[in-house]
Amino acid sequence: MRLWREIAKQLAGEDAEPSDVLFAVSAQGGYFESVREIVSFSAEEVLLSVRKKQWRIVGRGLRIEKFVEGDVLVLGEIFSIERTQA
Amino acid sequence: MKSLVCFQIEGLAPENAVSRLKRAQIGVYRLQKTGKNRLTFCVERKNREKVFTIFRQSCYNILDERPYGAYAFVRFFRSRLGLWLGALLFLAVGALPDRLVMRIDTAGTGAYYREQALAILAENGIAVGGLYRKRNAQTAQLSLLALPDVEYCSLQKQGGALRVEIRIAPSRPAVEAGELTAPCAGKVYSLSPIRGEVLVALGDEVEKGQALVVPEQGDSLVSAGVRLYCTAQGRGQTEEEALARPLLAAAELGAEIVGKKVEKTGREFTACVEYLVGATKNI
Repeated sequence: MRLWREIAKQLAGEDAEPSDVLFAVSAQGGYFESVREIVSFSAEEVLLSVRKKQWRIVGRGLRIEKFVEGDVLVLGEIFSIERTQA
Repeated sequence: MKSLVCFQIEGLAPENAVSRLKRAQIGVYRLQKTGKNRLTFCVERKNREKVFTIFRQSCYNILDERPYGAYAFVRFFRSRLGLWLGALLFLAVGALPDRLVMRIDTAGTGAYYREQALAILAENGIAVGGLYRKRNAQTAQLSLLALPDVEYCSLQKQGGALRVEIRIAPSRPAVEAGELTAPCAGKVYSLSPIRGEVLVALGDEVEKGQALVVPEQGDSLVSAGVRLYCTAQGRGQTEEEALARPLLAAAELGAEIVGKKVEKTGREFTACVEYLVGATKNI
């Protein structure tokens, strides 16, 4: 769990609330947990809804490989991940 | 590898379709947007019917459905079952003649061993209508080589035919010690000495049993050939009667007749037959 938090802080800043979403990112894509809904998605942007917030993933050649029981596997080149208000 | 079924759906805000699937606790895989109002996704094969139920009374249209992964593999093979069976049958028909023995041919100087060869092959599991196995053929080959006087044996599979070639070792006459003697009285016509001391020259008159070539000192063998020019006379009341005796004498020696002459002398006929007689020693 600490590792997830560290990763989240590194990517989303000190004010990130790791309890909102747990995710891991690698060169091939990212893995997100506790996702309630996929708001929108395209090859350049994926919007994930997590509770009352949204996570915006920006990248290139993005595709959602898996969305099972709140877990989302996004494949592609991720440039940034930012939290926005729903 | 999961067996997936992929769908292409069309409708406004297709992302909502994914939410519907999530609400129904259906896992979504390979989600991709293929157009403004279109997206493709895959679900596990067991959820296929649920997807149809969810979208039946909605504003989403299922445009396409196709298998993916292991299921696609199975479908691919199942849908072409006839083709695969045909291909297998073709391969089997093509390969079988090479494995089957349809005919057994025997060849070579030892072809007269055919019956024994067939028996040996049968003992080793090779028979007409049976399968050809290389290992059995090798064993049979060894047995065939053990037949008397067989110096070479080969088994070759040519399509459905099995060719058994058996060669017999050329028989060599035993070496004879002693000298080469004249088989009959006559004149030395030709001489081919290879080994030994020659005692006569071309044109010499020799008697029957006379030594022509003898072993050299310290040797016991002679290897030579000779041809003698001989004549034989006969008399009789008719020409045939006069010729009969000399011709018979020549025939007994296996001679080559080179000339014959018949003359009438008074009441009877006189015949003279000229012939060449050959003799060899250790050639």
